[in-house]
Amino acid sequence: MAVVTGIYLLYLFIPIVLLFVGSFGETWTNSLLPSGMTLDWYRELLDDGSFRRAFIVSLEVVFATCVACTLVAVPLAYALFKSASRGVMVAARIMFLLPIAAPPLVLAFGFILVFSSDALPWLGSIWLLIAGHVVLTLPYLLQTLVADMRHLRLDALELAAESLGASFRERFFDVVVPLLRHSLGSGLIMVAALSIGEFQLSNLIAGFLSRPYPVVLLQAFYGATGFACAATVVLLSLALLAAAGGAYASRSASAYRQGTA
Amino acid sequence: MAVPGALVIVLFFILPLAVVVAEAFTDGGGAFRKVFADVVFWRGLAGTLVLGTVAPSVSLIVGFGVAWHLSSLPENLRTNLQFWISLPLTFSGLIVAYGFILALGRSGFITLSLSYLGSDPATFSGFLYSPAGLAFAYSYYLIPRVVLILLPVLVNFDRTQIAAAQSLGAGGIRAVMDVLVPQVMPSAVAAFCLVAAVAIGAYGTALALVGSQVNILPLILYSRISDSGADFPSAAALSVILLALCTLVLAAGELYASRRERRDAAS
Repeated sequence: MAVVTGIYLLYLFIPIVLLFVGSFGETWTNSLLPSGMTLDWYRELLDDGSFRRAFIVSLEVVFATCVACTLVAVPLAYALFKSASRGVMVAARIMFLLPIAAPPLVLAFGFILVFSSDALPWLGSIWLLIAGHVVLTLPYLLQTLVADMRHLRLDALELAAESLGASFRERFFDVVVPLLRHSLGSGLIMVAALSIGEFQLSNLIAGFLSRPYPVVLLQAFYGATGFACAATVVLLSLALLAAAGGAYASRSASAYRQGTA
Repeated sequence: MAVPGALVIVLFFILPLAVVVAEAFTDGGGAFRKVFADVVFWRGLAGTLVLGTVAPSVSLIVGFGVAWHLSSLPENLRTNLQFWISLPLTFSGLIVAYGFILALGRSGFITLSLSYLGSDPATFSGFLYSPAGLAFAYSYYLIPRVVLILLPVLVNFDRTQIAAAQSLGAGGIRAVMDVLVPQVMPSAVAAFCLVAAVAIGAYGTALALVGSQVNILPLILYSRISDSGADFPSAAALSVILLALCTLVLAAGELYASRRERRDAAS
């Protein structure tokens, strides 16, 4: 089975390597690999106003999505964890699967129908885009948080705090939130990675001036290979950075736990 | 404490989906009749069924092989490999699409490499732009999902059980069928259905790879929605069909896995 893993890793890395190689190549048409070596494509990308704006929009959306997700997910995960009844657990399981059961394309169409109405005319605004990203990424953060609460045996810790006279408010902010910081960190990295790469919903609901990076990136695919590669590499690098950050966060979390256990 | 979260989910998830469903039924099912009378819909359904079968099958086979190999490795090496294998999970569909154009497009790296061995570049890259070829690209981010679902099961699987069955006289295949398969089956079915639902509903990678030239349901729906002067009721009917397909496939896998678990727990 080592052969399968080997071939699979080739399949995994060939597109990534080709993107990097292509972004530094001067010309690449009808040849195995590009000829010449240049940084011009990155320079051109930097000078491109619409890509710059899209990149800034993406950063704003990612930041706002992370903040909103945290404010919504921490209390919701806590409520789910607390009500350990069977019905709520089934509802939670269904919610974790919703982004797959309901394709972003269908959700985007729903956004177009609902938010282009006179009552809720929000289509095209950046904060509707943020709301969309929150809904798409929330299940992943919830899942991470609820799993961590179970793993930590949070109920026992809280019971201990309660028996020592801690109020609900003290328990939530002095016990629950600090204990969750590691899983919140790695969950938010996941949220950020998904949000920055999100295309399927954004492509249909973003306003012309608040198009995030991936939506603008698609236009580059019809132009010069080198430019398209460089523009894709930017997104790819951010994803790699997020993955490295996530691995670092989970490693330091487990080191921390081993240290305290 | 669940109130803000519930509000967000109702307003930005439940409400839009409910409005789509309501829109599809506004004219008493006429929109569905119109969709069913359209030959493009049936071609799209056929393409989606090919994609929704080939992509999860390939992903399950490769994913099982990789997970089986990983489960036999020392934990340190396994964690490291797992990091690389999980990378595509957060990749934008567009990264995958352009990477595959560079590798397998008309003048892609692999296409041209194979043409030195005598294959025709046009036929070879034509494959990438068919539903079965799309399945090959989709597998890029489906395989990691399969690996992550199967890996814990295989890590916990005690391989001496197969040796024990063989020492009791079972043949190699018989031992695998009777010992390994029943233990892996619930997760394998759940993984298959999960990635099938993803493959059926996604359009980003396909749009970037082939424009809207290939016949699959999400791309047909996408061009209906983005057309100016769109026929909203029939787009809504198409959305409901797509939503139902994804939900049914996913629910089937979940029900099968949870029923098997309960039966095993009871026995």
